[in-house]
Amino acid sequence: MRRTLAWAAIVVTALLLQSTIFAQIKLGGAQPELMYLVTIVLAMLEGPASGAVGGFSAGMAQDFLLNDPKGITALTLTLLGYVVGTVRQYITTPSPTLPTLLVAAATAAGIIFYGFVSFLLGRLPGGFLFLLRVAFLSALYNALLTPLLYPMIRRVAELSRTKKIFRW
Amino acid sequence: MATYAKHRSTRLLVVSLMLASLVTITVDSRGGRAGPLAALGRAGAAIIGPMQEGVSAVFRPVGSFFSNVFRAGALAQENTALREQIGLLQRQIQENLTLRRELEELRRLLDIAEIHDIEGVGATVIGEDTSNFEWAVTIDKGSEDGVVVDMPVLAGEGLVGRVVEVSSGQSKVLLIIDPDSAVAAKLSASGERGVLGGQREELLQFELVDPATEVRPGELVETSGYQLESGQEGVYPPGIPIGEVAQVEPDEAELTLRVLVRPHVDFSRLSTVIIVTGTTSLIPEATPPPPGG
Repeated sequence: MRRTLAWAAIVVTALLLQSTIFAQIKLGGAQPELMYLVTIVLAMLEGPASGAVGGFSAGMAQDFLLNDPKGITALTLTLLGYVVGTVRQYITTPSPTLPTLLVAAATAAGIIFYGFVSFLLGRLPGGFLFLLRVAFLSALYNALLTPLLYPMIRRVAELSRTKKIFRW
Repeated sequence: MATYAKHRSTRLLVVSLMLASLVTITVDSRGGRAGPLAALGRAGAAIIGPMQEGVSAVFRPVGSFFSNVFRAGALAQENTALREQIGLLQRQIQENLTLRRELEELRRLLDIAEIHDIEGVGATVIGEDTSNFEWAVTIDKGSEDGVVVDMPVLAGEGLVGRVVEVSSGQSKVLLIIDPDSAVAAKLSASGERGVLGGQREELLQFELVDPATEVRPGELVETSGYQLESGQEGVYPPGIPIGEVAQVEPDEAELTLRVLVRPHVDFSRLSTVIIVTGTTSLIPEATPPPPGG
């Protein structure tokens, strides 16, 4: 329960920051995607099931609270959380750059998937070249934010983890 | 076996969530802005709105800072463009002010020419005399334009001087403030006559024919004009404004009054003038000609 509340707090905080401070930081027509970043980090730390549930919740929160087209972000982040959580299980490298690389790649893939679904629904503005540019730039910005945010999110998540008590 | 079951339940969970998302997408697409999900979205936006305002208020300076940092290149370009625009606008304002001043001068010139029924040639001051002992200006009209020596020169505010040298394309005008200038003048209220002499940058000195005349500061002074019985005329047509009495004080012997006149024309800003080539009337009076006038 504590973990759920902690992740909910992280998602809401990310949502508020995304819609306020990060909405102002637009370079080259793109901005960081904090909800993607949070979902990817959650999936890396908690696994595919939590990643999928967290992604779905974060996506729905973004779609409904920010009044975006409903369901597209939820679908994207559900898949993203599940795939990242699954892939993370098979990567054993202790490289400290892994979170950054994974966040960058997953953000780009997620945005392209979001754009593809939007295209199918006739809601993709700007065309595919624009989509690729936004995907690349947002991935870059998320990658730059990861070294700062990943340790913070991990710390909050670990603090909320239920401690096992061993009795001898 | 347990791992397989776990994977299976995870996949089932993911498929359920994806189905829920797809249903949401479908309902939202079909319902549009009037659908139930759109209403739910508006309610959600209304809930998070105040929180966004609070966060914005706290982080706005930070966001603006980063926004400006990221836009530094564009801001620099915008700054350069705006500076150029400001320079252009300032030049235009300056040009407009100059044109407005010229227009006002020309209007006054036209007025004075009409009031006094003067025929004249408009001219622009193109230079000032560089001598320390002569107060004169050069204008851009000469003998080719019908200008001859002794023609009076006016500005919109009043008398400027007379032409003393003429070449083909330009002329030299001796200003009434030059010590060698003397103008037959009169007080416009009382009609008392005298001679107005230049004193360089100082006020003009008015020597009245009748030293006992009562003069008050503020009285207007204008050219008197004259015509001798022999037919000889003064240089200046009558009734042209010159200035107003600024000071009245008895001279050292207290026998006569020392009347100082402030000219209407600002000689330091003289730019457009009219050279009087012809007038209609002169006062038919036999008054002794003042020196130079």
